Amino acid sequence: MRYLFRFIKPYKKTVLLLMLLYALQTVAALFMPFVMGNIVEYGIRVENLNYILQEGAIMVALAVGALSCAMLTNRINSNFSATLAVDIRKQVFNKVNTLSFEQFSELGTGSLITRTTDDVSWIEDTISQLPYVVIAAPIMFIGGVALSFKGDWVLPLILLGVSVLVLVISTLITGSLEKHWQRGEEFTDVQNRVVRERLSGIRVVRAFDKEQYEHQRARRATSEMCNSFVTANTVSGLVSPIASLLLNVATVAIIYVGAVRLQKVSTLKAGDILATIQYIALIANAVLILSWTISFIPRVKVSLKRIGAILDLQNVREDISLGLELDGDITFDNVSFAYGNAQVNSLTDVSIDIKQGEIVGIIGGTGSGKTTLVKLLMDFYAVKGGERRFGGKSYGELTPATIRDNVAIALQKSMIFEGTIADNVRMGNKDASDEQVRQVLEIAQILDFVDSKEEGVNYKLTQSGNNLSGGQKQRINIARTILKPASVYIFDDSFSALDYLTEANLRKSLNQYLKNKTQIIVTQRAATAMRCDKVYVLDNGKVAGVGTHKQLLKDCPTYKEIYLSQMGGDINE
Amino acid sequence: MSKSVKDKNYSAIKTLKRLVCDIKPILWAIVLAGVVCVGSVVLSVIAPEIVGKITDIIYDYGMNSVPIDMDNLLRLALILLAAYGGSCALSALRVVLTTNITSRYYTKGLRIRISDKLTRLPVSYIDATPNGELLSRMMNDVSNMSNTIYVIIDTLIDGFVRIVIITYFMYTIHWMLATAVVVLVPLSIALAAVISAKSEKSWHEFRKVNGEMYAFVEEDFTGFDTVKAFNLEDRQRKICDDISENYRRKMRRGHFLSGLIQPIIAFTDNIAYVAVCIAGGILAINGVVSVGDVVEIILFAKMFAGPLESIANGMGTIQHTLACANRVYQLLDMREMEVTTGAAPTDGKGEVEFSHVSFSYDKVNPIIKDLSVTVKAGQKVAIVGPTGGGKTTIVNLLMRFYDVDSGTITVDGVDISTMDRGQLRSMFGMVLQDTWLFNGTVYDNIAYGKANATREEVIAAAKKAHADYFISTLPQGYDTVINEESTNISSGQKQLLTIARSYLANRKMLILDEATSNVDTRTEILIQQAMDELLQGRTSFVIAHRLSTIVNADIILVVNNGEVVEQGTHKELMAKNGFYTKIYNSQYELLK
Repeated sequence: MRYLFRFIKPYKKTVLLLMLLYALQTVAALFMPFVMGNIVEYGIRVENLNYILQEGAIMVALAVGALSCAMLTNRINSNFSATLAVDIRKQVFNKVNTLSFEQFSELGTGSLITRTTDDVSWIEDTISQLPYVVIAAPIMFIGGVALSFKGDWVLPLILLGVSVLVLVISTLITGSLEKHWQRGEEFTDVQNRVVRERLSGIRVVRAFDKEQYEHQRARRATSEMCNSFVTANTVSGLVSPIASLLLNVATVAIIYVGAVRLQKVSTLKAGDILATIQYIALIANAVLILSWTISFIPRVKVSLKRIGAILDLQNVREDISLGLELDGDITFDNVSFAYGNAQVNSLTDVSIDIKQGEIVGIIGGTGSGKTTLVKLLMDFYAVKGGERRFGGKSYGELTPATIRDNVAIALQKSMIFEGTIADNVRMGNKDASDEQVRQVLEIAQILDFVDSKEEGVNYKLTQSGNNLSGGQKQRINIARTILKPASVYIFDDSFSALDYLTEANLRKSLNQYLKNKTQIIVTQRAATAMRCDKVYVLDNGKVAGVGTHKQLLKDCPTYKEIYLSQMGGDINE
Repeated sequence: MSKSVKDKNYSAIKTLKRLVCDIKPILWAIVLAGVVCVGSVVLSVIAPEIVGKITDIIYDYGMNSVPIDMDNLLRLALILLAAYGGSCALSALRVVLTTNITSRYYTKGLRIRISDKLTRLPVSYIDATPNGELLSRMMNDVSNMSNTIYVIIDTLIDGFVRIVIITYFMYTIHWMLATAVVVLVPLSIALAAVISAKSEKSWHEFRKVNGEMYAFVEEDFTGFDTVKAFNLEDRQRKICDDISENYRRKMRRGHFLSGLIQPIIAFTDNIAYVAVCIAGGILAINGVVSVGDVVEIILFAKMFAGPLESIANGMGTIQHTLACANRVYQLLDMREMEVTTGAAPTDGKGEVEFSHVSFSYDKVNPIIKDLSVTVKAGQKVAIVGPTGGGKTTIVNLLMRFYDVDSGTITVDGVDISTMDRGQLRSMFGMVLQDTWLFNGTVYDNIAYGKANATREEVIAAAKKAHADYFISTLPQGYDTVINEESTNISSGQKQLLTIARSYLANRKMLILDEATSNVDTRTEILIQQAMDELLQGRTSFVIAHRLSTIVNADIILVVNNGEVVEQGTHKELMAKNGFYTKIYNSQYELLK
């Protein structure tokens, strides 16, 4: 709940104004039955038309006043709740983008998405009702009780006692529901995941004839979710009838006890009892709203907790670009690294030395640590041991953002964002001219494809580039990368979906375009590695060999093995 | 977008009809809910009457000193208690009924129906529809639909019943005054309906922006590393701000408009109240009605506001329900695959024949043109050619993920288009470039290949696929849970697991579509050996970029622009010095 206050804090003034307006409205609402009673009592019962007209006018004035007040309140409140809602969402979104990779993967993409969307929505829904619940209901409640303390103390006491009882019962009932809401949420996640997986793997699912199995999995998750939510909804739905019953019992008690006391206590007037009965309706309304709100607290609490968990994460270190232009020299001295709590190191004692303008290949088998090496170079993670230097400066003196400013990387997974081809390419450099965009597309060997589209570079790409083939995505990714001004360019398995002919052409023009820049090419293909100035061979997280293709072929058995296996021995013919 | 709006208008009536038809299985529950509703409304209307009687007694004592008949008072109090108790019991029953109907029949029922539907939808439909779109229909639309149905059952029915009953009671008192109140009702409802329609429209727009926001967040988080690598945080923040601003505006408008309904209804109700007071006063003074009748009518008039508000809110909800229901029903009505039930040959050896096969995804650009090829049992067929040339399409057709436009494919002489799809597919093991693992343990992922596999079988399969070693280095070995994005193992390791899965499945024929593209060559050689062992005497189809994988195939199909431009063995094709030779030599282009 403390998060809620933290969110609201900047809007103190608005909230105070809203409080005032709601208070005004509530007072009007409290006053209305008074006038109504008067009309009936002194107008209609005694057939006094003038009085009816006079009080009727007051009533109309009150109604108009209440309406304008409500309009104003509504205007301010809708603005307040929408602004606050957006504010929270932005906070969460921006926070996620500053998380470290460890923190990000700990929470998981799917969960982060639901937290930023669904959980925030829950809080939004609550916020719009908050001022009313927090202000109007208590005023109504206190005002009603206070007004009924006239003439006798026993009747209001009954009312007060029952109201408190109702609130306590509501809190107890709904408090027990938190675990059901949570369970329901968890199974909603499961259900989402199961269907998402099934859709993305439709061919495998069908190939193994597992549709029924998958259907049953989805069915189970849905049933579990449904059971939890039905329990939670039913029980919280019962709060309101139970509260009504208790309040109604209080009404009966007040009437009966009132009638008894009326004959004994001389200060008690018949009118007081009648007034008390009128106020019960108002108080009941307030209590019902409160108990109804209480019934939603556990649900919102779950969401607040889930969001709070994100906002509470400490940023490991400040990540502001220092705006330095670094040379493309990179050295690693005996760098070791392990992911999270993993027992086994992913990289052990890795030393590399890359000079500005070199084209360096990194080759190695599955799980040999190639991508990890690149991630450390990008400063995605901190190392467990050893020293890294970029442009002669230790990574400790630089910030991750500074390093990323100086490196352009085509990641293994070619991410395409919704938008045009030009939008996607310009992510590398937002100020690039149309000419430059076309140039990099040409270098990436994808300009023909782009030009084959009627819209050209303005061709719309769907989310995750579903309207592109794997090879096309890779090439857009490459174009984006080389458009970025940097001293070091990294291609992490970026040519794997290209046929050899395309790759050959691409590399040729790439070398021209990136002259004097450092290129790091991560690959599994010996044919890709052999045209590099220098190749690092990784094996099991260690450097198994360094040198040119020729040297390695002679000295490094691991490299030779890779090479021969891929070339099928034919090359020697 | 304009198209979908048109669609919506066009099918609103149809969707409504469908919605009503869909109620049949739960009609009894809805009727019961209605009856319960009537009961609780009647009780809640009776209760004030009793309260009125009691207050009259108290009033008489206070004003005219008429002594209170305590027995009568106790009797009335007990009746009142019974009425309240009954009302509470009925309300509780209604909550249980409505919650169960909407959660079990709609939320759960519809999702299960959609899940079931997914088992029968053709792959072509799932390929063509973004997963997010299908998911949002199954999750968001269904839950919106049931939430709104809850509102309809809970408030709309209740509101109407209340109004009818209150109107009835008023007419039993005095027709003229009752008419005066009732006449004001349509006015009030009309006003509320106008606002409600407007607010519904703005909520509709809001939901669209909400969808954009969802898509944007999903995209940003999925591309987290790209965002970081390109320092795109500022760009993304700006986009987020833009969407947020739009979101804020739409939300503000929605809240404002729906927030208007309550005060406006309260206002018209207050005016009606005053009008009835004045009219009643005049009539009472002229002796047309009794004072008591006027007072009672006024009390009833006051009770109109609540149900009117419910109806006004509910009316906007119906539109929303229809919009969601339309999307849900569209999915449920989607054309399904034709069911074919023919048995697959059980004793055959795996001879596959393509005869004059043509196919096109969009029925405009042919992908496969008149393909004919005969694969003898036990042969290894390699399919090579440039990206987009139609290699994977051949697999799609063979597995019947798509059906041929013309021509036939036979397995052991049986036309596959007559076979039961499950039986056909159970003849093939398949490993794809796009490795698919689910969020479960390594063990479960391998065991997916065979129902009821023993632990020994699973480990044996992993060993054969050379996955056993890396699995043993994982924190929990075979019980390591692969995370949602499968980022805790490398892409090569993923492929090893899918290969192990296929080993376990142990099928008659094998399809490998770039199955080893992410596995390092050394491991590939080891796998290849194991595979050759497995493939002994089995027909296999291999798609690969790496030509070293395919040189020893029995038949190489060279596919380009939808046609098999060449076929033969490696030696024969090299001798031809044609397209294949060009592709083959291109890998050495790099060396120059």
